[in-house]
Amino acid sequence: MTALFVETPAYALMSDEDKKRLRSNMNLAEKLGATLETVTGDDVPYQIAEYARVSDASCIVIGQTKTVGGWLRRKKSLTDRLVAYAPDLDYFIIPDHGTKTYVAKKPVEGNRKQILMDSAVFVLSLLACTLIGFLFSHLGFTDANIIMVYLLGLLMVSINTTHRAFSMVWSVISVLLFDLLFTKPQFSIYAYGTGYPVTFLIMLIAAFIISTLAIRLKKNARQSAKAAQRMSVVLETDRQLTKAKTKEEILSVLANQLTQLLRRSLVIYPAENGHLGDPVFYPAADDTVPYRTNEERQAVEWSFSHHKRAGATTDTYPQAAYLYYSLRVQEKAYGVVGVAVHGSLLDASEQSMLGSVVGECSLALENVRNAKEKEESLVLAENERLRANLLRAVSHDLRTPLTSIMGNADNLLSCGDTLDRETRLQLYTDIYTDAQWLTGMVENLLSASRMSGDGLNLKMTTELMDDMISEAVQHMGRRLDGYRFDFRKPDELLFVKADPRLIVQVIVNLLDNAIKYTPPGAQIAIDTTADAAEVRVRVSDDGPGIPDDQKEHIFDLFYTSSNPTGDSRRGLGVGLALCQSIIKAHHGAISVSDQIPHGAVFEFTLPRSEVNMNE
Amino acid sequence: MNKPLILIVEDDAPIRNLIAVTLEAHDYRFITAQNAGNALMEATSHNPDIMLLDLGLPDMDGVAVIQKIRTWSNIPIIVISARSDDADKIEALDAGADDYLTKPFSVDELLARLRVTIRRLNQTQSDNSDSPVFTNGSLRIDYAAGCAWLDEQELHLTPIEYKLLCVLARNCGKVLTHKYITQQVWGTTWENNIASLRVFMATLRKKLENDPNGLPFIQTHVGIGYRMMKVDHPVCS
Repeated sequence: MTALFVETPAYALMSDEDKKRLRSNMNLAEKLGATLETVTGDDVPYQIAEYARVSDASCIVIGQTKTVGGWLRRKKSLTDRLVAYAPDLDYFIIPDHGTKTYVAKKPVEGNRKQILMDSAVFVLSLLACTLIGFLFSHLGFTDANIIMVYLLGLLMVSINTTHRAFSMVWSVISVLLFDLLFTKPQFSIYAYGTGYPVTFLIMLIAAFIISTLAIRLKKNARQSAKAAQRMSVVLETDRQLTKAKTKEEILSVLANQLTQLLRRSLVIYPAENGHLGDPVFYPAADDTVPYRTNEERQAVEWSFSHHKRAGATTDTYPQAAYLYYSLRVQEKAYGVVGVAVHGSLLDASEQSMLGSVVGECSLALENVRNAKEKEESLVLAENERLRANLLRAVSHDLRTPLTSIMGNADNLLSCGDTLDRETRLQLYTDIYTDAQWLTGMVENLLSASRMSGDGLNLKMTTELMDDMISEAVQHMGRRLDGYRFDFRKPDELLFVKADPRLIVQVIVNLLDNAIKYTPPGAQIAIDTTADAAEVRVRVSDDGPGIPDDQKEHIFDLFYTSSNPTGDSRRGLGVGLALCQSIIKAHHGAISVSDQIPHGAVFEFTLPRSEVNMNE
Repeated sequence: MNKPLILIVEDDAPIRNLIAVTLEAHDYRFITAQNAGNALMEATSHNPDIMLLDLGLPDMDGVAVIQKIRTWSNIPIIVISARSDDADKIEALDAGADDYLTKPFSVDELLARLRVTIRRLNQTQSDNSDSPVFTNGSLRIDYAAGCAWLDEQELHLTPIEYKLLCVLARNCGKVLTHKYITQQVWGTTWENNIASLRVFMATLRKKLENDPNGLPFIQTHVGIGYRMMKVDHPVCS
């Protein structure tokens, strides 16, 4: 859909109010999804008709304008003139006033009517000029004035008729008429004056030149309309390419634009790691030229490896049915695009447009690849940094519980008999709790390893929130003994799209955290609520709570609230940081706040998921 | 029934020891095997009642062991997996395992799994498996009539819910994977069916467990599947 604005010289004289209205109309058109086009010209309907013709428009929607003509000449309305210029299009004319919209379809039998109209214009002009000539000769004006009248008539005819023949015939007839009617002897082709043959000759030459100029004028207008359309394709390609973010999108833009531009079958071979991939075929509506033949393949390979054009209309593999362009930037090839060239050849403007679209796409492909490489190396560097930090922290923090386990076990092995029962029990308990801590640590590290990178390792399924909470509570096992634990199940079935293992890990970490920072006997509660878009899970306790200055750091990696020397155990601040990255990867949010009157509330949200039932 | 004989298949000596000591302390009879070859031999010669199978054996893939055993025996198999990834457990369950344990597991967990399995063994031995009526605690299903009762009250189930209940009841005590259940109920394993399964299971469970203090009939195994638990104190019927 295209919104066309014809910029006339009168535009400069337009009032500000009109300009504003024009702008708002253009904005509206854009909002409705039209592309804006501007052509320059004097004759508005003519420009519209020409643009419609070169851009192959099939339908014109136009508002019916009220004709405000001078009182001397009754001007035909814009739409009437438009229909006259381009009779074989569908028109939807929307009246300016009144609410009724009617559809006026005017299929006019094209050429014959046009020729009839042109002939009418021709005969009438000729009549008018001759009458004026008689008037002038009656008033005793010189012959030169009459000649001028005929030349003026010629100018009108050349502009107002479609075929050159009219101007040519006019040139000859006007000379003959002048000779017959206005030179002495009248009504005879003989002329007494010695200068007349020269006059006739000059008149004829002038007539030819004028008609040629007039026709060229028309051609120019048509060409500039065509150029505008070509520009618009290139600009549109540009616009779409800036939106395209992946190789596939770029190639589909390329295919779209070229099919629109050329209306020929297309075949695109994307390159994968320096080799040509499988071709994608975009058949034109009417023909499907075979593209998998051996010859075609050779032309494609040659074009790809030599970064040059090959196939039909070139010197390399001219017997191929397609013309192949290499999608390349300098020596890097990103693929090959082939255009079917059977039947009609591509004209010069099509070729240049094809070249520029292909060039644009190659550049876009290179940009995408560069951006991807850059991003990958950034991610890699960031991952490397995180991994190094994590390894350092892990190996440091794992030593403490391992030392305790080893030492306690050693003691029990070597002198277990000499220790009293209570001490032994203490040692066993220490081994158990340290091993438990290590287990939790390992679970977190495993989850973290799955979170690394772009989150593509997530196994997203539709899960019931209750199930995951129950699983986490079950996982906590005896650790919740000694606390007043409460899990209120909601009445509704709350579904989320999530990797269940990771979400269970989040809840386990939050419960762990609550146990770690609250004294036994405290209340720990989980409850879930939901609105239309999100499911919200709150893990609250009535312990001492978290000071405000620590809240903002609590989700940082390796941050711990009681880690002044960096050597305190159970310190590794991985748990909450992991929770945050897991929830973020699920497009949710996690936050911490205060419980009234005291305690901490950790709260996370996950986008709600709908389930389509298969009964 | 006599004390069941348990076959422990585990290549790691400390873990094998741990399980053995635990079983001994709780008066179970057991035999051990350290690789798949031994395990298959012991299984044929001693005909154990329950098998604890580590999935990471040196000489054969654990899933292959399950498939071999399933060709001639229905012995309950509890797999032990060291990987936290669910895929291998699901694979083992689909191959015919009954239950799973993830390392590191606690002694409590191990004993709980054994108790569940033994209860189920007792059930299948006392029941005629072709019986047209299934009873589990206060739940009763009459396959022939196509009805289910809870506490002598008829349950109003949708056709899908009833089908689900039957699949679970027929495999009472076994962990069933999402894939298996959807295959049984819908005949396909589309992702959409697996999502619907969650909904039907949740509504079915609500209907079955309207008493909040009652024992749950259906256990959820997040990321893996569901299981109907054998409830103690069967109603005399």
